[in-house]
Order: sequence, then structure tokens, then C-alpha cells
Amino acid sequence: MAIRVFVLLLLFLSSAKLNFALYEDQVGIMDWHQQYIGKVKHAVFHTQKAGRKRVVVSTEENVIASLDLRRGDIFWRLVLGPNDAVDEIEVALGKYVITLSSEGSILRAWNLPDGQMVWESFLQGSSLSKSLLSIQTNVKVGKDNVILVFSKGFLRAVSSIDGEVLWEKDFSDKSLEVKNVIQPQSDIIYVMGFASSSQFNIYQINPKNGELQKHSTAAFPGGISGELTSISGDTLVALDATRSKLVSITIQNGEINIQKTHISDLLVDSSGLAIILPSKLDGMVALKINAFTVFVSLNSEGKMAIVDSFNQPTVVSDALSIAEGGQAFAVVQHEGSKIHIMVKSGHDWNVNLVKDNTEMDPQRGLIQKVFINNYIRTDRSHGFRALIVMEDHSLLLVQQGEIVWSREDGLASIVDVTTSELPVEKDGVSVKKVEHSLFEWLKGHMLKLKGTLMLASSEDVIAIQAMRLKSSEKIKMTRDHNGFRKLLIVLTKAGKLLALHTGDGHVVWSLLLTSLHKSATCQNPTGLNIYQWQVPHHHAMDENPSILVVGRCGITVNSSGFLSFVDAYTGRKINSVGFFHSISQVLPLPYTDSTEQRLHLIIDTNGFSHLYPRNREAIGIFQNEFSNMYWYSVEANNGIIKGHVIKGKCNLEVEDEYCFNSEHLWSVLFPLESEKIITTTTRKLNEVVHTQAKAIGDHDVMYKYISKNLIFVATVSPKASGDIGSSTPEESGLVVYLIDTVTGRILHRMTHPGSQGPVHAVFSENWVVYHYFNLRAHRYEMSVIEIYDQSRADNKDVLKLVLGKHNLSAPISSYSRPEIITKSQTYFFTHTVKAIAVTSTAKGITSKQLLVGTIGDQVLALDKRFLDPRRTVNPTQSEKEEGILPLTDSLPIIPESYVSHALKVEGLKGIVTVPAKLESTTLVFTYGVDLFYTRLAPSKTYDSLTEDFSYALLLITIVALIAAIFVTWILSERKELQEKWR
Amino acid sequence: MRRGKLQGYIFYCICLSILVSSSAFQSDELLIEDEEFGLESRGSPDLVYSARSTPQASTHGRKRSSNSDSDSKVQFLLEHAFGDSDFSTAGTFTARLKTWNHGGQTLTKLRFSRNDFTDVEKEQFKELVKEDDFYRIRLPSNVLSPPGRDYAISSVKARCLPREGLDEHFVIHMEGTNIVAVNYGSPGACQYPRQLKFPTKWSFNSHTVLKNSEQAPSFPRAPVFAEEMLTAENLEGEVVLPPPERSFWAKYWMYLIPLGIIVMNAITQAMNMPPEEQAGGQSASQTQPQAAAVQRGPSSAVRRR
Repeated sequence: MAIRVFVLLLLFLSSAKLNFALYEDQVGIMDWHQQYIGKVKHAVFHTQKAGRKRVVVSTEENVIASLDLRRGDIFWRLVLGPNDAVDEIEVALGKYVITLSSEGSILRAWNLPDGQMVWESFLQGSSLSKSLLSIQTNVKVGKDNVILVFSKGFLRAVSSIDGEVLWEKDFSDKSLEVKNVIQPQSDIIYVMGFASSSQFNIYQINPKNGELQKHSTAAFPGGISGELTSISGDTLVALDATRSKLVSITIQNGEINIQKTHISDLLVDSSGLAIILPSKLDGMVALKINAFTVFVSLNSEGKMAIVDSFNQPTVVSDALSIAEGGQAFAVVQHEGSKIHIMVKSGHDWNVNLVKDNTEMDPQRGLIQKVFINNYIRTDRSHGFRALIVMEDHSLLLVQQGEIVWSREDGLASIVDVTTSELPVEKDGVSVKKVEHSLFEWLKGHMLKLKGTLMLASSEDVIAIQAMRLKSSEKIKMTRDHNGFRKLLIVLTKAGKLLALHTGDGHVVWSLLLTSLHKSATCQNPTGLNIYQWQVPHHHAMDENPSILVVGRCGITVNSSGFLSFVDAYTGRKINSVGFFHSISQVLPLPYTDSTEQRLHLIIDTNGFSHLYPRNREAIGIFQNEFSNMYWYSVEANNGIIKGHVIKGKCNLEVEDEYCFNSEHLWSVLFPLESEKIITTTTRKLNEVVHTQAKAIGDHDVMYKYISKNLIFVATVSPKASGDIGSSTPEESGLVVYLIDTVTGRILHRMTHPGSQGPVHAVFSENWVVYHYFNLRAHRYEMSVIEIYDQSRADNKDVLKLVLGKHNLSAPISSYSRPEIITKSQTYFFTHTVKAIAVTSTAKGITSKQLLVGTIGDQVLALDKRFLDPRRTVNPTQSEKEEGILPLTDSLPIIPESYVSHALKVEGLKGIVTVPAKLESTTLVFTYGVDLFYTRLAPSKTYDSLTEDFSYALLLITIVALIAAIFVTWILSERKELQEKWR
Repeated sequence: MRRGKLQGYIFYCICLSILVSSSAFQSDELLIEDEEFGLESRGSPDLVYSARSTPQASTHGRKRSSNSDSDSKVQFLLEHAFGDSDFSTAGTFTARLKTWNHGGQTLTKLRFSRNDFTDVEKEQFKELVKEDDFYRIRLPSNVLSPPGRDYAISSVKARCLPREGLDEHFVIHMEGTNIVAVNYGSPGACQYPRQLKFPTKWSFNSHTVLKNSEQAPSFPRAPVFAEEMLTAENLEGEVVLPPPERSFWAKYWMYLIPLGIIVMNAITQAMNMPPEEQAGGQSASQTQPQAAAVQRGPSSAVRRR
């Protein structure tokens, strides 16, 4: 007993060291990092100086990246800020990548080989307009190539060498909506647009100095809808306002010639509205009418004729100039599980330069975009490769009818994460072959032994390291004893569900959900959240766990929702329910039915709650707990938080026994003129708290106030809800609330004058930690609030405990007036924060760490002990023994405690922590544009040996000891005998 | 291991005695009100208790009082509802509106007069208690221009209110002249499961608390901060935490633990010696092992023989 106490004490003392660090050779053993770029918007190929075949892409995640065309690897990658969306991308001078971003206000040049910024210029302007970028290879001012930029109502010529604006022409004050800028010849620029939507204007500009040479107008009543597409040097095509006529505009010597053609004249079945596809083709325009894609050609007289039409989903690339002055473009057609890639010559429709069929994984959905690039084949003919963007945001390179490489770039935009256990290892379950042979195993252990005994040569060290990294143990598809191997199930913005293995992050299965739900009634389904639907536990061990995916048909809150149930092991869809009520909240309830399906309550926008799963048993369970079902709604725009209780069935026209009505119980009204809700946080539903009591230094006990029904709300004054610096300290203020969601009772309310958001908060056990900006101190601050229950404070009397006169086992009612005390403290914090999370362990015994996603896209582990409101400047002896640190003004940032060590999780969005089975360990998954996963032990792994513990060394030592015992025994026997014979 | 158990037992006894002695004195003072003051008053006289309300029937419909007073008085109505019924007037709050130098306005000296239940209301309330349903109250969100934006609503299970009479407790959270929320309930605990109990007297015993938001504790440690800045500057911007002074135990625990083990082993060995060899110390050790003898089992008995 005493020894056990000592061992525990020893462990405690060893864990008392605050920071922990990783050695260099431990990197990659329990963590992995994956880099993504997101859905590609633009791609520019660069094949000059043939040694390096690259493609430069810009994506919807505001990433500019240079990819290897052979393997799809990232050469370099730049992540612009969240408000700095890339509008256009071009390559200039063969060595610079030019990007126009932030709605045309920032023009930057990047060095093509390494992605270093060469220059940057800010293009000012007030009016909103479309942003256009074109690089002129044939226009030179001096020796300089000119970049033509139209943005913010200005046409500018920018030097490609240093980004200086050579000239600019203002188009913003003429009530002119500029539609397009073209340059048919090297000495003319046409700026085209509509004034008051009925007058077509053309300005002829001299590209050398920006002088206006000619201005001509033509009346065009009604105007056009959509874009004005240039199809050859001086001809443009658009749709008129009714979208029933095709308008061609020809400019000859500054004269405007407008012709209209009814689409119905061209096409018999033209009932739907037409859309011009944005592809730039030569002498041709692609239209989309209903499900048809129609190619219409224009001859020199402006006469239109249909060339071809496709009824399958079709995507068209831009025209690409190939040698001999010809042009080519790709038409990619989807048919079943195959795609047909046709590269057509620009001059003759019937000539197919390439025609390939490629098998495509149906989980990738339909094709969204295609970019083509040509190369010279070995037989000196033209070959083409196509870069394809799919519906699930993945990027593929197709050449000669084969997929050369693919990137799962949907993972750059993860919406929600949950986890699932792997199957238990047993005979029926197929397990990957793990150990190769006894010899291999022995060899591995010999190597390890050598490493431990410092005998290993440098090659051996490399071999040992490789062995550690590629341990097949960690990518097994079965559950392990420590609970480290799990499936991370993620939902992406594209509506794809992917399961990642925690061992190395490979995709186990994927399922494109939106394609399943896409129909005429559900135009653009989006996934909202995922929940653990069924976690087999006791009763239903043989069933596979399943995941609930909640989605919505449109972007608005009122659009109807859908549910999908997906098997977590195989990724197959089990069931789906679709197109019913709207979804505003999903509440997983703490009850499961006999098949371990968790009961979920879905609240729609009308305030009705709907129970799932829809079976009799669920209704029975629910009805037992009927009167204790409370929920709350936050109306952030109105500044109201409302509480509701479930009461009775819905009285709808259609009888629905799974639908329940609720009653309004309480409301908290934040005064609109002084407070605006910016953050609400609750405790994690599945959080485990080990003990309510907290022993403090002077042998006293404090009881944590642990309630699942607490919500943390932060409000700021409306003036201070903008960016930092947009308001003065006097007019800004931050108010934080702790509200009980059953009764609406405000348990704690506190103002931070002169502070403002953004507020990031995390709520765990009985404490909240939040991060905000203090305008007076010009610094970020972090505050902690801890809540303690006073009503249990009298339970310290042992006599009472013995006699049973305590209230420890009495049920807690929210309607009792809580006797609580709160403690609070504030510290400075250096970093801007993107996300905060807290570690969670299986039993909640291990001390907690805060995981802070910093502005530098790293994850910092901060011990909760630094955020303890009981810290004082000079702690007493008993407080020191308890482990309370002396109070400091700012929270220390220890470089070793960066969880993400040398890596960056670009565009960090969220941190998810999952408990492992081993109490000391928690699994951390960080997502953004990149993914990062690691294991953490906030108090060190006190309950297990380290992974590289050499069992062989232990065995050998034991064997050696036994041998030594025998030898010495024999020797002593012999000596004894000799002495007796003496 | 046997020895260990004995030691553990002794250790436990010592711990228990420490616990008992530390919590021996127990004040029977009711701390509810005091706690409110502690939370509440930061030198602001916001707090008024109106112990027992007097029935007042004439205040119906009167919403605001005369503005002619220099320290203007404000009245606002409490309304209540039984279950699904509509809201009706239930009482009147009266307060003094205080205007501060900086232009802010706050309420002070809150008084409350509660209307007694009418017979119809009594029946309705009894029904609520029977059904274990909600008794609901509301206040206007702005006291100067009621009802303001909306009503601040609060509800309680009707079974929580009846004691002798009807005990109720209001906490009104104010922000200037706006009511952010009203928390309504019984002044003490509300046992769960809730008992079906009707009040013997139909008179209200109301407690009201007015709360304004408190400021977050400011940094009380400015001098320390300045000091730290100085040291940090000396080290050329490098903030180095001074190594914490370690206690004797923290420094030498690795020597002390083995020493402790050895000492303990020696002690237990001495105690476990057969009584024949331990002639002198018998009387001292006799009381102790009796409790442990049961656990020790037959082996010790054999040794004694």
C-alpha cells in the first residue's frame, strides 16, 4: 500500500514538469501532416524551359500553389488571408505569377520558381466592378511588358517589372457598367460597357499611354444579362435581358454592329433559360440550356449556326493556342462512370485531336472545370493533358486516357469532424498482415537493441528511424488496446464524407453525399454537421457503428433538410430521409434505444422539434423524459436568447407523432444599443468529469459547479463589433454571461470595459477561458472564470458523511437557487488566436491543457494551471504545495510546447480533441487548409511505457541475470564444497 | 504488503483526524443574504428587500408616475401567466431613477408590491401545482418606455413556490434602464422530485434583488508588471522566468523516499517481531495490532503460538 502511494507520488512529481517537448527523431511517429490547396478556380500552365513542368493554380481557399505536373506534388504554396480572395491569375514574362486579389485591389507578382513575392501594388478605387487581368505580350512601353488591369472602375496599365502603374483611366464616374476589355490588335484597347443598361458604349484606348481615341455608342434597349463573351478579335456574344435571344456585337473601325438571333430559331427545344458558359473559345460560344450543352458558331457576317449539342453533363475548357496558329479546346463529357475527353480543333469541329475515355470514381461526382495543356509527343504530334476539377473538389491530371495523379483537395475545407472506433480484432475480421516473419521481427529488435546500446552505425540509425515511422502496427484496421487507432470522419464543404485513419491519415473510404440527394427539388444540397448515430456498446456489438449526416437543400435556413445514415466501417449509405422540415438545431439526447441508436431531436425554424430515430421504442424513451426536455435558441441578430420546454404533440394538418411542440419559458434580452452577441459556447456533451471535489492546499475541499446546462455568451458594444482599431476604448466594451439554459438564470455577468472581440472561448468542467482584445492595454488578453458550488461546501463534516446527513446524493434541480461563487482572473496573451480547444481524456483524471490555434497557424499547448484564478503574486506555502504558480501578468509561451512543432497548419480553422482509451492520452486533430494529427499526454504517459521501449533489451537483461544467478550459484556451491573438503 | 496495509491504516487515521479537526466548527448562520451582498454590493445601494408585500389593488393600469419629481420615480408592472393563459398584472415595482454625472441612468431603491391572487387565480395556481406546470412572469425590457423591445420572461415550476405561504425570489439584471433578464424562482432549494403541496397561506413572501453588471477584476499587479518589464529589458527583450525557489522536499525527495522506505521497513519489522523477543515493549504495542490481527490471518496466529 505504502509503496503504491509512493509510486503514485513519484508519478505525480514526474508529471509536475510543465512543458514537454519532442525530440527530433520522434517527429512523425505519432503525428502526421497533410498539405492541401482547396478547390481550384484558375490554372495556368507553365511549360517553358521544359525541365520543370509546372502548373500554377489559385483556389477557393485563397491559396496560390505551384504543382508538379508529373506527380501532383506542391512545389510551393502561398495562403492568402481569409478576405483576400484571388480574382485572376496569369503568368508574365515567363518568370512571374501575377495575381489580382481582394476584388481587384491588390496586384502581386510572385517569382515562379520559388514563390517569393517580387512586387505588390495596391490599386485604389471606390466603385465596385468586375476585375479583369490581362497580360500583353505584344504591347511594350519602353522595354516593359504591360499588365492591363481593370478593377474598381479604373483601367490601369501596370509595369510587369516593378508593379508601377504606368497610366490609368477612370471609368467609375460615368454610371458605366464595364462588361469587358478586349484588345483585338496591338494598338487598340476596347473598353465595353453599358450605361444605364440600355446604351452600349465602346471606348477605344491607346495602350501606350491610355489616351481615349474614340468613343462610340449604340442604343440597345433592355441591356444584356450576364457576361459579354469575346469570341474573336472583334466579335462579342451575350444574351439579352430575357435570355431568349443571342446578341452578337461586332466592332469594325469603331462602328458597332449589333445582331440578335432567337435561340428558338437555332434550337427546337429551347424552353429553359440559357446560360453562356464562361469558356473562351474561338469563333464559337457554348450555351447551356436545360440539360443540353450547345455549341454555336458565328461566321464573319454574324450569322449563327449550331455546331453540336450534348445532352450529358459537359464541361468545356478555354481555347489553347497551339503551334501553327491553330487553337484547340477540350470538351469533357460525363457518361455513367466514364468521362469522354475530346480535344477539338478550333477551326474544324469534326477534327478530334484527342479522344479518350477514362474510368472515373463515382464518389468524385461530376466534372466542374477542365484546363488543358499541350505537349509534343515522341512522334512530334500534339498531345494534350487535362487538369480536371471534380464535384468533390478533388484535382486530377488526365493524360492519354489515364489518371496520372489525383489530389483529394476537398479535405482543405472541412466542415465538421467526428470519430469512430475501428472493428475489434477477431477471426472473422480481415486484418492486414502485420508481422512479416519471425526473422524480420528479430532483426528489427536487434537493430533497436543496437540503437539502445549506442552500437548502431549511421545506416542502422536510418533503418531504425524508417522502421519506427512505417510501423505497420499503427495503420492496422482494427482497434488497439490503447485506443490510438480510430477513424476520423470528416465532412467537407463539397458534401463529401471521408474516413481518415489516425495512424497515417490515409483515406479509408469516401462517400459523396450531395450527389445522392441532388434532385429537382434539392438543387444544391450542402452538408451541415455529422453526429455519431450508433456507437455499438453492450447490446449491439455485432453491428457496425454509423454516422448521421445532417444537411440542407439550399443556403437559407428555411430550406428543407435531409438526413443520411452512413456505416462507419464501410462508408456505405444505410438509409436516408430527405426533404422534410427545415433544420435549425440538432440536439443529440443522452438516451439510446436497444440497438444503441442515439436519440436526436431536430428543431426546425418554426420551433417544432422532431424526434429521430422514428420508431416506437424511441417515442417510449422520449415520453418518459418528456417533462425534462429543455432547449434554447440564440437569435444573434435580435440579441435574444430564448428557452423552451417540450410540451405536447404538434398540431399540424398532417398527424405526426414524432413531432413535438415547445413552450417559451424564458428570454434574455440584450439591449440592442449597447450589446451584440458575438460568441456562444457550451460544454462538450461527451465530456467526462472525474470528480466534483477539488482538494485545495489547506486540506479544504471546493466543489466544482458542474452543470451541462450552462452557456457562455459574450457580447460587445455594436460599435466595437468591427475590426480591432475601428473603435475607441471608451465606446467599446465586452460583457460575458454564464446562463443556465433550463431556467434562464444569469449565474455570472461581468464587463470588460475597453475590450472588444473577436472572442474565442472554451468551456470545460466548471471553467471558461476566453480570449479577446483589450484596447486600453493594446494587447490580447485571456480570462478565466471558475464556478464553485457552495451548497455542497458543508459536506466536509465527516460525522455528517457517516450519518448520511449530506446532500451529495440528492438530485440537483435547476429550479433551486444556486449558491455559487465565481473566481476570475485575467492575463495578457501574446498571440492572436484562431481557435481554442481543450484536451479531453477518457476518465477526466489527467490534468487539462488548452490548445490554442495561433495566428501563425500553429497549435500551442498551454497548461490549465497557468489559467487558475487562485494564482496570487506570492503564493503561500500550502498553495505552492498544491501546485499553484505565482501570478504573472502574461501567459508564458514556451517554444517547446508547440504541439505542431515545426509544422504549420495553414488556414487553421478548428481543433478537435478525442480521448484515447489510455487515460493519459488525448488525440488532437487540427484542420484548416492542411490537416495535422498528433497524440498528446498533458501529464506525460504515466500509465504506459513509451512506444520505443525495448522489450528485447528487458528480456535479454532478465536472461542474463538468470544466467548470472545460475553461474554464481554453481560457483558458490563449488566453493562451499571445496571448503567442506578442506 | 501486510505491513503496507497497516501503515496505510495509520495514515488514513491521521488524515481523518486532520479533516475532522479542520472542519470542527460549523456556523449555523444562514448565509444566503450575506452572499448576495458579497456578490452584489460594490458600494452601490442597488439592493432593496421588501419583506412582506402589502396587497394593493389600486395600482392596476398605472404605469408611470409623475415626472415632476427631481429624483424621478419609475414604476413598472410585473405580469404573470398560468400555464398557457395570457399575461395579467401581478404586481408593481417602484424604483428611483438616478442619473449619473456621465449621463448613465440606473435604478435604485427598488420596491415591490405584490397583488394577492384572486380566487380565480388561486384555482389556476392549484391546477398548475397539480399538473407540475409552469408559473410564468414577465417584465418590460425597458422601464422607461414599457414594454420596450420585448418582455423579459422567466418561468418556474409552480411546485417550487409553496412553503408556508408563497415564497418567491426575483433577480432583475439591469443594464442602465434596460432589463436584460429576470430570474424568478424560490428563494432556496427546490427539491426534486417535486412534492405536491399547496400553500397554507395565500400571501406572498417576495425577495427582490437588482443587479447591475460588475466589472471584471482589473489588474491589481501593475508594479509587478513594471518590474518585470525592467528585468525583461535588461535581458534584451528576452522574458526569462526566474527559476522558482524549490522547497526542501522538492529538492531532496529522491533521497528522502528511499530513506523513508528503509525507516518504515525497519519499524514494521520491529513491530512484527514475535512477542517473546519483544518483552519490554509489549504493553505499548498490544493495542495496535488487535485491529490488524483479523486481516493478518492465520500466519500471525501460528507465530504467536
